[in-house]
Amino acid sequence: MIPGELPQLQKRVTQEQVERYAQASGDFNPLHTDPEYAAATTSYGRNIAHGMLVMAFLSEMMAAAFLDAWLSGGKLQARFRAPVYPGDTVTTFGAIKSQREAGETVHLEYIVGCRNQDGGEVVTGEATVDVPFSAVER
Amino acid sequence: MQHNDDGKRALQALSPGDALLTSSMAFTWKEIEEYLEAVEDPQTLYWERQVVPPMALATRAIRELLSQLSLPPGSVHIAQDVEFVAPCRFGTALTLEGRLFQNAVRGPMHFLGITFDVHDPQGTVILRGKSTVILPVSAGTR
Repeated sequence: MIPGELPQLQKRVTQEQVERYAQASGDFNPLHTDPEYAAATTSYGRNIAHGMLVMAFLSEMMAAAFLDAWLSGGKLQARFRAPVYPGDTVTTFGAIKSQREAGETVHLEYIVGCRNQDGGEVVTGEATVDVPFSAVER
Repeated sequence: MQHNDDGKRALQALSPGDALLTSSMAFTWKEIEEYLEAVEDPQTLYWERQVVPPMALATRAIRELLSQLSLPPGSVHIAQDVEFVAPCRFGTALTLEGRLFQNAVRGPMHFLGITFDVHDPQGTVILRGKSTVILPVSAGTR
């Protein structure tokens, strides 16, 4: 069965998580990790989360829904529309846009993204995945 | 090849189509553990199959490429496309190739765009990506 709406993930982003992500990714841009820099020199006024950290939530949602098909052929296009601040709670969403048969698979396109606790879209994009018929006919 | 005082490639000297340096990379268990803890991803499949989380791979590729460039601290990543062509097992020696597709100042914004491929030891592409970053103009090419 093809999911029309993907199960949402909810994540509360903390400054501690942003710093862990900086360590894991090697991205120590002070915009993310230095409160004084962010306050003094950016329009955000404080640290923001890495876009790739928030994008990882979308990939987690897709992997949870499609597993192998996501790891072998998944595509994700993301636009970082608005900052995610430490303390924000981000909720992912995914809704089917189109589906079509493609040989032994079904090609699925989803509108995906993340919203903050105020309902504002912070990341928007599309995800595509080719799922074997055998997996969707169950 | 023009470099700045920090030893990184000067943006002013780069044009669309220019290749970025090729580099090699591989993931250790510890690095993968740190990544999954940072993004708080509970997926156990990566450990069971010893497969690198694809976003960890994309993140590393982007870091490797951007670290070659002289980017000012206020740079902001605004868009990212990724295609996970095939899974990558832990410890696989990977090769990264990047290319600039955009380096332009438009009004108050300086846009920098990079495409990249990650190859396995057989030369097969396992991940493709496209990144767009904006930079403060005063520190860019104007």
